[in-house]
Amino acid sequence: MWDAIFHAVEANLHYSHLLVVLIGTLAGTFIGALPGLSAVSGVALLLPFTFTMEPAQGLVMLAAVYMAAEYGGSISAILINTPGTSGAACTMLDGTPLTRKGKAQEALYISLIAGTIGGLVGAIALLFFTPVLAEMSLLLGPAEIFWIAVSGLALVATLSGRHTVKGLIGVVIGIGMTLIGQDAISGDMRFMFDDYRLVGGIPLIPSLLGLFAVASILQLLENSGEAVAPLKLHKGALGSVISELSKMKILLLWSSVLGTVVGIIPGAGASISAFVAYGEAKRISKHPEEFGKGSYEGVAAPEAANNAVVGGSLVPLLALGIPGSGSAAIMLGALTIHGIQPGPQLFAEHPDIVYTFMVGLLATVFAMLIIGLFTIRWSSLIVRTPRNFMVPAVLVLSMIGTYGLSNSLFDVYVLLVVGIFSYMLTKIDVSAVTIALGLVLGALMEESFQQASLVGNVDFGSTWLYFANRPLALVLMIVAFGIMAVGVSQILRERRAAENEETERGVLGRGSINLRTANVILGAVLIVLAGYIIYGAQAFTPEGAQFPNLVGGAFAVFGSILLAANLHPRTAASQMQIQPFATVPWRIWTIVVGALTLFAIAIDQIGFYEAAFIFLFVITWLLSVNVESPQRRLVGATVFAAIFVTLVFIAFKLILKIPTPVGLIV
Amino acid sequence: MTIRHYSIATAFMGALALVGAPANAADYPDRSVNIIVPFNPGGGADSSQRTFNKFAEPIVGKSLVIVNKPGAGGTRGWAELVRKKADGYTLAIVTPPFNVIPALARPKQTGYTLDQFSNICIYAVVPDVLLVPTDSKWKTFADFVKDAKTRPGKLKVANTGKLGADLMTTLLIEDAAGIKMTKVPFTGGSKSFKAILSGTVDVMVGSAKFAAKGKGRLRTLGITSKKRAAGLPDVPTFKEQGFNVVSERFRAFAGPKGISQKVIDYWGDVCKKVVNNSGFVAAMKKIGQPAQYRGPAAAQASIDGMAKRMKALVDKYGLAQ
Repeated sequence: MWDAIFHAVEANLHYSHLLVVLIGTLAGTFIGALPGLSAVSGVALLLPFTFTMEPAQGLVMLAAVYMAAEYGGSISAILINTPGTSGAACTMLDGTPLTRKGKAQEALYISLIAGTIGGLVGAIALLFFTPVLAEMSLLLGPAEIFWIAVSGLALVATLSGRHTVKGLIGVVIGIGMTLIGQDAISGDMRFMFDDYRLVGGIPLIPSLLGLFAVASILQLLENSGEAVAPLKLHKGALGSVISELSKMKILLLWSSVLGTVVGIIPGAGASISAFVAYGEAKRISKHPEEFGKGSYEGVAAPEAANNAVVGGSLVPLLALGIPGSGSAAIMLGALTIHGIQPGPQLFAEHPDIVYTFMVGLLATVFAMLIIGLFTIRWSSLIVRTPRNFMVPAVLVLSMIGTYGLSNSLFDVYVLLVVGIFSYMLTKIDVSAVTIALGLVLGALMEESFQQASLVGNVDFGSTWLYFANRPLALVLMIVAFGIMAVGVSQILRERRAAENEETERGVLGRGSINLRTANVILGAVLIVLAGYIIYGAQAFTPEGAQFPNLVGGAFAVFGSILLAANLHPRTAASQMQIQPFATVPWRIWTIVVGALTLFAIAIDQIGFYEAAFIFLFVITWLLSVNVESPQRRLVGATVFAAIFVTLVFIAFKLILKIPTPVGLIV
Repeated sequence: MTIRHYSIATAFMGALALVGAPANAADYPDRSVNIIVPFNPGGGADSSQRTFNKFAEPIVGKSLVIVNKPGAGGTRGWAELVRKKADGYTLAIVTPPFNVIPALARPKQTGYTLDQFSNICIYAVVPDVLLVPTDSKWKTFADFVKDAKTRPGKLKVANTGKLGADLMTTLLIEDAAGIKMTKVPFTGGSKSFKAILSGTVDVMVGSAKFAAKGKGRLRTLGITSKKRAAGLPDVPTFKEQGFNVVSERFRAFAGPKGISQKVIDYWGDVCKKVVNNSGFVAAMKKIGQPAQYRGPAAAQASIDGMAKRMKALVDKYGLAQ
């Protein structure tokens, strides 16, 4: 093996390899940082370029994209509150508060260095422990995966946000969204109102963009300040970050190990691992109270984990031919197109390719570090971007992420509707992160539950006996219930606290809907939805109805808790003081949403880039209220629109070749 | 171009609006052609189409752009295909029976009917296989049947969901052998494959590419082709073992109904040239997708025949809703 590794190191030091690593890393960082383009889309976009390369080289490039995109995703999560990849959602919990405090640069350095450590641990595990880890991944059947998903979601609910009940509501709303469309297992067509466009369910990428990008832009409109956030730049940022990180060596290592292990679980990957690491960090931290308010540990742990996932998810791919994540699935395609069959035979048949690839993965980690160190100074300046440029720019990027990739107007409507709901729900403390994770993991949860119950019924006569007879599943089940117990105790504590809650946020007086009314409405809507889901499920096959009934039940329970708490006179009194929607600038808000809708409709008529130009111009002009001279306002908007459209055109049309409808000009 | 569009255009863009004049049919295609792949990148259908494109592009002389539109086992992408303009600039890979079964079993929600496709050609034909772990006691399919008969419903078979090809083949196998298994559905061949490796299920039915993939850990007890497959000479067909199980899945090329005969013939010819290229045949063999050419008429007949067989299964097992 050492011999093979030495050869691989030699191969990787060849300049063409280094070049490929560099290109892949640059592309990955950039793609990951763009809202709407995730690690998966990055790997998919670069896939065609690898066909003409040597297999090992092509694979290394894709791995570089994958690794760097997981890091790049955190850049936008930290800077503009929009995770570029779903694995970076957790980073926002503490990354966003840090940015608000002017510490964006520090947060980026933490993310980079923690990510590097995680990436290294994952890559080393891949290099030395693939056979062992692969056998381990086979111990995880549907029963185990179900309980991992449940624990993951319970963690998300208890960790993100101030109110555990609202966290749970967010998670079930996300899961509820996954009920729509064709159920892959039973073949039932669920809650799709005979509309074929819903057959594949609510599309994920537009939903995530809506949840985060659109919602945070709408939030930004409230902000009367010029830029997204203040930014304190100082030379010592890197040094201070390193000394902070050196105090958390154990945490970094532990998070990386967790990331690697969770990474080998197919489908769970980056998003769960980040939350597991975050929960662990909070548990072992000396300052758990700082979590959610801008803790360095709260950024370091998920970042180490989501980069460690990369190595982990490649383990079952190489050893068994089973991809551990969406990106790994595309790499499987790349391998097979080159005529290489991953699986038990791979190490014997193509040791050169395997080792060159695994060593190459290590190289990509270093490339990521170097590129990060060079770019953070500049990329952190993004938060200083004036609002009049930031708003239209992020929205155009979200549009190309939805319409550009799918060419379907339906996806744009999903983006808008989810965006508006997410904004409203965030106002009343239902965090977008919880909805996103429910959405990402809902299908996995249902699938594994149905499989476990089928297998359990044959082998043991019952699903629960099946869980009880699998030691690992049993342990995971106990963990899940433990997390839920913590959640319940939190709910009880929060209720007492809520009675004396200070109205530190929200506006007193003005406005028509206070928080209590909003909570009562949300509770009532959840209960009505519960009825609708359970009623609708009557028409499904027994397998297809099982999970909707469960989700409907959860809607009813959490809706009732919310309703009860807010109708209780003592709790309600404090909630009545808060006016969550008083700060919404309704006029400008309506104009932006309206303009976005018109933009979408105009794409088919005049072309994407043409419509984007007009949209950019109009919104920039509209928001440039501080520019006093009308000529300068007009010229400024035109110049910005022209430059930004050109950049987007070069990046998406010329380099990434994303097809858009034929327009008037391009 | 209507007056409204024109005025929008002139207001913002000046007089550049006349660029998009309709192309002369004689020089088809005069620009790049979008090809919808209704599955994720990297999957079996995606790999096949990318391989096809690689060999077709030099013949066509224009770029063929893959547009991945995954969702609902391909249904979403196909529903979009049939709504595209039938100008020959949007085509798709169709993978019967995956596009056939939903149209038969869920006609109301599928979003297309089978006559909304113009089938152009078939360029690969893939049989199915039945796999068991190497350390299982079943050495032949006959062993397996004998055991399965003693405990109906107790053996668990992995396959891909109620509207998938794997289930249909599983039903055919059960029918021919007179056995009954518990079907555990997974969302995709890779997941079924993991389920059999991890011992979650006892047996897997899936595309023949898994025979090569599982070498060393899995034993292939039968293949659903009429004759033994070139890549798997040691694997007996079900037919030669005395069980009448023949099924296949196609990699085919189609456009929305209404594309001109000219376009159909053009692509039929491209298909033929591609499949006649020995480089393509070798590349397809590597990804476990045996290349085979069937022109427009033959492709249509094959797919019609398959639809008829699927309809019989859907009716027999009450799969329609």
